[in-house]
Amino acid sequence: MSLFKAKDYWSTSLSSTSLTEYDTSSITIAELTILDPPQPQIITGSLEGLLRIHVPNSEASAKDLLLEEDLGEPILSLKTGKFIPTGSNSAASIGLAILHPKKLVVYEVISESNTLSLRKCYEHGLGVRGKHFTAANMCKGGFGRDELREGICVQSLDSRVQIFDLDVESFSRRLVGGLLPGPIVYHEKLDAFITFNSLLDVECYSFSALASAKDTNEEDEEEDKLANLKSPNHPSNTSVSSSKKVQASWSTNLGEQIIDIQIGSLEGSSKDIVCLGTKCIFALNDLGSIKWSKFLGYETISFTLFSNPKSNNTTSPAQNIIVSGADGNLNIYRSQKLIWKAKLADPNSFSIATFVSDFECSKGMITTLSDDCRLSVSYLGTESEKEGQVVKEGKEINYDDVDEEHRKLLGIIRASQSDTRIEPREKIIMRTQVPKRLDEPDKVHVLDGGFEHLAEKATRMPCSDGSEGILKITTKLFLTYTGTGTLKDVTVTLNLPDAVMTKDTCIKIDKLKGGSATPMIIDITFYANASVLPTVDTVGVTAMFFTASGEPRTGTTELKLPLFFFCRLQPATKEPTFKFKLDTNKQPIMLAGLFDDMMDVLMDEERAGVDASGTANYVLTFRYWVADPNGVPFNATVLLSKTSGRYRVQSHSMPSLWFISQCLCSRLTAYFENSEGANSGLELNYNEPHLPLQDFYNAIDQHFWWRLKLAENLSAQNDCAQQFRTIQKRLLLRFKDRNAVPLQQLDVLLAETYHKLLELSKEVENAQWSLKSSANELSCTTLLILLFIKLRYDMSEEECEVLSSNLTPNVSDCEACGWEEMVDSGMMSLLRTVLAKKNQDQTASAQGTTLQMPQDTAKLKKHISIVVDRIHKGARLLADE
Amino acid sequence: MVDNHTTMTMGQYIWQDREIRFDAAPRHLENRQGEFIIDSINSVEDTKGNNGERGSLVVTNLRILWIAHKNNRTNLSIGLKTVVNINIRKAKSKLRGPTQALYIMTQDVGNRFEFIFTSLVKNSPRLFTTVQSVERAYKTSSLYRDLKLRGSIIRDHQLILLPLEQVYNKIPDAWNLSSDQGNLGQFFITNVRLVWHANLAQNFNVSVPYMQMKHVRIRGSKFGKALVIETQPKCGGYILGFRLHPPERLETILKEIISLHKIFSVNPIFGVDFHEEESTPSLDQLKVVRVDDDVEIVDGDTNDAFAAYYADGFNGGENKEISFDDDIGLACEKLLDGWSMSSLWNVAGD
Repeated sequence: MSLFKAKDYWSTSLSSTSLTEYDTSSITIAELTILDPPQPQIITGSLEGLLRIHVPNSEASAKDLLLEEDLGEPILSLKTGKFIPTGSNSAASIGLAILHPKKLVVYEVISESNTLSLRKCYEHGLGVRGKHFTAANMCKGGFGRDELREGICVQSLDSRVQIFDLDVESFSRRLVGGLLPGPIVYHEKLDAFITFNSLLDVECYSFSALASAKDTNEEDEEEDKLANLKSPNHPSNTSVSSSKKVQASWSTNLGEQIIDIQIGSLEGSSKDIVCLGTKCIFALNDLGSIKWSKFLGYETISFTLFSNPKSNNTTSPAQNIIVSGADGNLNIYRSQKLIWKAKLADPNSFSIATFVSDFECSKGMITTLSDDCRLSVSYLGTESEKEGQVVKEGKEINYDDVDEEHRKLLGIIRASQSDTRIEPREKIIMRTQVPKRLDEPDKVHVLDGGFEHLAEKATRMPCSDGSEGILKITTKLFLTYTGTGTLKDVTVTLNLPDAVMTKDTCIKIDKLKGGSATPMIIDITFYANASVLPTVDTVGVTAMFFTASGEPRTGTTELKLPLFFFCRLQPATKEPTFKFKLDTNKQPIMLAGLFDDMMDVLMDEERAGVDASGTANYVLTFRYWVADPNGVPFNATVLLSKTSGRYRVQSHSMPSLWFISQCLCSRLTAYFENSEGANSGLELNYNEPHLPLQDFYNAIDQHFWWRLKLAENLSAQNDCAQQFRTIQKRLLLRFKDRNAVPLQQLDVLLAETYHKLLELSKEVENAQWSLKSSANELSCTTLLILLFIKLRYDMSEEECEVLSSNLTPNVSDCEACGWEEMVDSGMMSLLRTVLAKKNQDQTASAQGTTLQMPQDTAKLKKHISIVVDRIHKGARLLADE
Repeated sequence: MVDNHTTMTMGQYIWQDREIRFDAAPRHLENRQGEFIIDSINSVEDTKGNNGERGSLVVTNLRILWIAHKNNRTNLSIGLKTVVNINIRKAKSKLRGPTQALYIMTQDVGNRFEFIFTSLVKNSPRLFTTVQSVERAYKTSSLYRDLKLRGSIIRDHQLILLPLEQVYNKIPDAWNLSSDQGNLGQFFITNVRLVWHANLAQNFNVSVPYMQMKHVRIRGSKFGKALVIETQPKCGGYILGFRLHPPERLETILKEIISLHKIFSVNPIFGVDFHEEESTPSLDQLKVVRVDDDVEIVDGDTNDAFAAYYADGFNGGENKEISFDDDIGLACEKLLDGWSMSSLWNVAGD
């Protein structure tokens, strides 16, 4: 890779047909004819036989071609020189020798009326006595130190040389080491031919020695041998051939194939033999010893020597070398030192022949013939090659595309820099659809086969044919995946309240298609539990899946079950054991309208019963599917004052008030939000002088009593089991004893204990069931109390949250921790923190003691009373900001 | 000077094969008369100037066209005469990564441009083979298109005919008036060109294709009325005068030349002949008609779409003065004051 380039002054293509080819010796530069102004001419001869003479001009034109002649035979080599015999009637002093494979022709070039033409001077057929001879190359020179004329030496393909002196054939000799012809050159000072043989030797054959030697003619030798064989007694006649054999004056092995040899003076005084190898260059002195050699480091193609005018020795100016490499570079050396390097103007080619000559434009112009038949006259460029100069301003830039790409890239950068993770776009969206009516009840046996426990607890309802059926409702769940591709193994989990049952709370979906595919629909059938009062009406639905990268992700939704799934309307009854009034600041809303969905599901005759003489607008009784232990169903009645927006909810049991009250409150809120907007200003007030705390305490007591009862029963069961095991042990001992003592009624005792154990177990089961049921009631009561507190003291949602998390309606009893101690601890923590008196430390935290089942509920009740009292006095549950 | 009764014709300059045009107007991409599409290859990337963009490479008998698929205003028109050489080498393409590509080195007035084309169709040598063989065919048929002086075109006083050439007329006794005394020779009038050669030296000849003639007319000269042929300025602007021996023949010969000129300068035989080796559907079936919009936006700014293609870097279109350097013994570009070749080399070489 060179910094500099050679610049073309003039160039032309020499290819006329697709077969055009040139060789290293196909070109020469000489002044064959005198032009105006005088200029040397470039003579080229192609292997297809086309001879051309060009003169370069600053602008390439048709005039540059002075002569074009098809000689009809391949031109192997061209030489100009003093080949024309003096005394002949030719005006030209310089002849043009052209080597064809089988002949050598010398022409003179005649200029007539601006046109050049060729005139043949003489022609030599090659080969001695008609023997085979095919030319390879030739050299010229004043053989025998003749200064007036020049001879030509042609070398054949098998290293025989034939020497011509003008129009006379001198002699022909076979060179010794020859197998293939190497380059050949005439050394004037030595009057010898320097050539290169197949043994990688440079050889020197003196002209005089060659001339006087007897040619070793194989055919003659063979004849001699034949004669010897015929008459073995006859002495062999070898005297002539042995006396004057062709012999090299000296030979030097270079160990490398030599491409070209030239004679020149590199360091001024003496003539050097310069040999170009494929990788190295060698300088030899007259005696054949190597003066120096230089490794060039690239593959060489051709070289030339040219005069360096600045050298001090004026008589014999030192010469520089141009070596052309296969990489397309021209390397210029002064002796062994590289002084310049230039890449050819056409970077994809290399020079197969290089000359330096003086043209009109300047002295020292470099003429190159490239491998792709391009003839160029060039000079050295001094400006370094500009790399990577790409100006793109001319291109139209699509700014929208650029902006878009920029934005995209910025997004990627931001996403990778920020700590917070961005929610992936791919998610599952779920939607639910609830029917307006209950399904046609299922026959009981439909649930056979694994779901008998459902059938046992589920609410019964008569089928259309009168037989006993099971109440159920089927809702639809729609699943949509927003990402592309297909999701595998999606799990949908249902979080059911106690009052709701279904066959399977976990639904597996094998494949869920993404994109714009229609959503997947899943039917879910719910059954109502006939022994649990409803607390909430929503079912939590969670879908879980794994993304392509293996991250678990979920989507959630809530399924709100309709009111008619939990209860139904009843002809109005009056059971005012428990009641409370709810005041609103708005006009009364007809109950039949407020609970229209409940009215819609009624049969006509039922409707008539409920809405006897239009009372349904003012009074509605709801009956839950649940009945108390005495078989009395739980009811709740809502009454509306005809004059003001005052509602009364009443029932014979306190827990059954909750679900309907909650429905009433939410429906009223929703109604006024729909009709008057979000800021309807609806105020709901609990209009009773006191909170029904006593009833709440009763529920607590009942629940607590059942806890104690259960504990007692469990203890008794434990004792009994102990006893049973002891009796068993004794009996076994006797059974094993060889000489056993009498049983002494131990077997009877075992049977009795066993029976007692069964009974106790039943009692434990009953107590567990009762505890569950009382827990359900307590849960409803707690929710109701929370609602009352909220309404009465006009609490915000946040405050309600705080209170309900301490006074939790979630009554779950386990051995480790019961509801009472949990709530007591919550109350204590409220009293010590937000509800603490001013002078007390508000930051004191609840004691880190383990929770234990209390002896009684007195403390708990007291604490609840204090909390309510403090709230009543205006304390707020949220710490001031 | 022009005789009233003599006709004169004007030839138009054919630029298609002699110029490189960048982002030319769509009408310049249409085939001119005598030009025909040899091959059209889709999905070729202009790796140098429009890397990443697909286009179609159209090879005609005069030029190589590359037209972007997206917008036909992004295009290249490379005249075959400007092509210096064609190579197949490795290149890096945005659309295909490192791949074999077609390198076309060209030389337009004073500047060298390099073009790299990559076929985006895997293992498709068509891009390489077609372009190379068409370029070869073009290079070896220059006699159809270029003026030639002193060529090797006559053998034994007979014109060596080109493959598509027919001789229409042969006129002896035609004098060439280039020198003072004139040269006697003869005319060959063919369907491609007008050839004159001297009787005495067959190497003294001229071959003028009709497409290179600018004017053909009769003019007065010191030898009397003469047939004058003026060639296109781009090929030298030569004025060739001939005198025909019986002067009456001048008019008829002029008429003959003019009518042939009218036909063949408009619809020339360009000499690039081809035949496909594989039988493919006819060109008409394959041809996709290019729809050209008739709006031409005249760009006020200098168009430097070609900047990316410079092979040597932009040298301002002019070469510097040549001077002889004593130190190195060779001609070189003139250096700035204070610099010598050796100081420059030592700076660069270290």
